[in-house]
Amino acid sequence: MDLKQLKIKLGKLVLDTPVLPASGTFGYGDELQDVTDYKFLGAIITKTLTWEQTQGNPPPRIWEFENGLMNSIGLQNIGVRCFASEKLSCLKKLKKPIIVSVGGKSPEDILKCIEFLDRKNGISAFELNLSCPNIKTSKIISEDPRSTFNIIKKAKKITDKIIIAKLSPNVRDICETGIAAEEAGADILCAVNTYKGLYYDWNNKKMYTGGVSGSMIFPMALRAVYELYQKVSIPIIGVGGISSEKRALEMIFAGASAIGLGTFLIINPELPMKICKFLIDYLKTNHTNLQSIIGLYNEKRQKETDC
Amino acid sequence: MKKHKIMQVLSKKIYKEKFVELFLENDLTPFPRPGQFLHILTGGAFIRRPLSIAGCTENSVRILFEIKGKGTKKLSEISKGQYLDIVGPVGNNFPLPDRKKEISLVAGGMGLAPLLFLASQLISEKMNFKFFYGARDKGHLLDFLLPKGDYKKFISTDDGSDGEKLTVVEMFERKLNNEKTDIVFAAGPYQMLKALSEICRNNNIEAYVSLENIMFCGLGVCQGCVTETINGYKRVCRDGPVFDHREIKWT
Ligand SMILES: Cc1cc2nc3c(=O)[nH]c(=O)nc-3n(C[C@H](O)[C@H](O)[C@H](O)COP(=O)(O)OP(=O)(O)OC[C@H]3O[C@@H](n4cnc5c(N)ncnc54)[C@H](O)[C@@H]3O)c2cc1C
Ligand SMILES: Cc1cc2nc3c(=O)[nH]c(=O)nc-3n(C[C@H](O)[C@H](O)[C@H](O)COP(=O)(O)O)c2cc1C
Ligand code: FES
Repeated sequence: MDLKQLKIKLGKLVLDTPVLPASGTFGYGDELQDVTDYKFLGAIITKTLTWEQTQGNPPPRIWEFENGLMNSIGLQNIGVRCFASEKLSCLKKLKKPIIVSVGGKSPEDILKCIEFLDRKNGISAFELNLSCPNIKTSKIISEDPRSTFNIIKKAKKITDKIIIAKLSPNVRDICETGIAAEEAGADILCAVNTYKGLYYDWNNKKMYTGGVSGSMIFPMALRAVYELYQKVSIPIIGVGGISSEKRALEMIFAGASAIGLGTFLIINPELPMKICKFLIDYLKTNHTNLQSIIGLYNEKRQKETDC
Repeated sequence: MKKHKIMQVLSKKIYKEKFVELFLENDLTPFPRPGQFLHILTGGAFIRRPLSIAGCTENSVRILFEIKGKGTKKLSEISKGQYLDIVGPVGNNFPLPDRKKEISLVAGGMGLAPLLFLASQLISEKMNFKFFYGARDKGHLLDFLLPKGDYKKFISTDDGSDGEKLTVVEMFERKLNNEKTDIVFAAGPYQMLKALSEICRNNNIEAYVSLENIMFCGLGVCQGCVTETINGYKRVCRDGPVFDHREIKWT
């Protein structure tokens, strides 16, 4: 398989393939080498790291639906400092762009992580997981355009590295936060994170809240990317419920320059290989190239650029 | 890839209508150890299902499971010659004990599966041990699957329909005076392991227990399967499933 034609630039971020792991289902980045072939992945991404080590939520943390999954992990992780001393050097050996996902209890925490990691070699980009509350407004940052704008603006002042804003779908209009991120200087958008969900457990008669992922969120994630593509001009990484080669291509048709696999990277570790193969076949049969099919069937944007 | 495999079903047996034994072609690397498990795509449920390795030779891997819900139901319908999508072997293993110690294996219900593998290993290492095995009732008892060998077997059912009318933990406790135990290897439901842990603690017995939490990745990357320990949350799929019982904060 000749992967060369799958090389793609998302602004300054150059990827060997447009297939990326999604944060949180890929550990710290080097743990799935026995299971999936890294050759087909465009970059390495870590689970979200916080300034202090985080315990996470009490179990249970995983609930299953017919077509999806709900999780409430609570950002359990070893913290950025431990990550930098124990994991980063192993990741560099993988010779792929390294995207570090950062999050925290407050905007200050996130900025502290970036400031600390900015001094380390080998990191290509920061993905800001903005699913944390802003203490002052008590709103989740990524659900509030103002807070999103403010934190990205500050992050851009601290680092020259690429900033990816990971957007929450739990908003009235995702374009509002997407545009705010772009105006603040974000280089790339990543849409979407998990959808708010609720699970009823018949065994112990309890309700649990968490974030929903998997095939059942695909149509909404696709729509989010479709709408963002019409409103912003920075590249978008499309994430959410991608379960097959076709779904990956649909995400690209809607406007994604790259796609992220979360839940299905675990369910089907061969999916990155299958998507790459399918894309290459598609490009060949249709005598086209990857760049030209991004947003290909997103008619509204098409019209705007036509006139 | 090394740990993601498509493995063929070599044979299948059904016992007492709801217990299924499959032998799969052994394509696993590295060679599995007792306590490790396979994470299997059943076709009947969205995420994989963890099942212990119940035995292993150069040519075949054995799994043994109870039909519980949608995943295991679908898995029970597979036939000889068909293929299964597997991640494994995953998880840690029961530590191989010192020869001089008095060893007891304690299995409750389907906790039998990993301990069958451990028993075979101990037999081939010519190590002595006792096997305590309990089930709900006669209809759930699979004692005929215990490997042949020169070791003591103690069988119980909760309702007394076969063997002693005791839970396996009660039976283990009652025999402690006559059947000395230095180290226990146990698997079964959480409440059973919790009761066993207390007895081991009170009698100063070393014990390793295999936990059965719900899992997503089975590979240590999602943090979905954690249990609370004295050293914080630990992943049952990667740091376990086998834990020193003193490490677990029982709830
Ligand atoms: C490390 C490990 C080894 C195991 N080994 C064996 C074995 O050798 N033989 C055997 O019969 N069973 C074993 N189990 C339990 C087995 O995984 C569950 O019975 C099975 O997943 C139930 O799936 P289901 O779809 O049939 O049931 P469901 O319809 O999903 O639910 C039935 C019950 O199974 C439990 N369950 C559901 N999903 C999981 C999951 N992913 N992990 C654990 N429990 C779950 C739920 O608590 C529920 O009460 C093991 C579990 C673990 C964690
Ligand atoms: C178990 C699990 C853990 C996750 N952890 C994170 C995380 O730490 N940071 C983050 O930004 N997103 C996290 N996500 C969200 C995913 O990155 C992704 O946005 C979402 O699951 C939708 O994609 P999918 O349907 O392909 O899984 C997590 C998702 C799952 C299922
Ligand atoms: S199931 Fe994912 S870490 Fe254990």
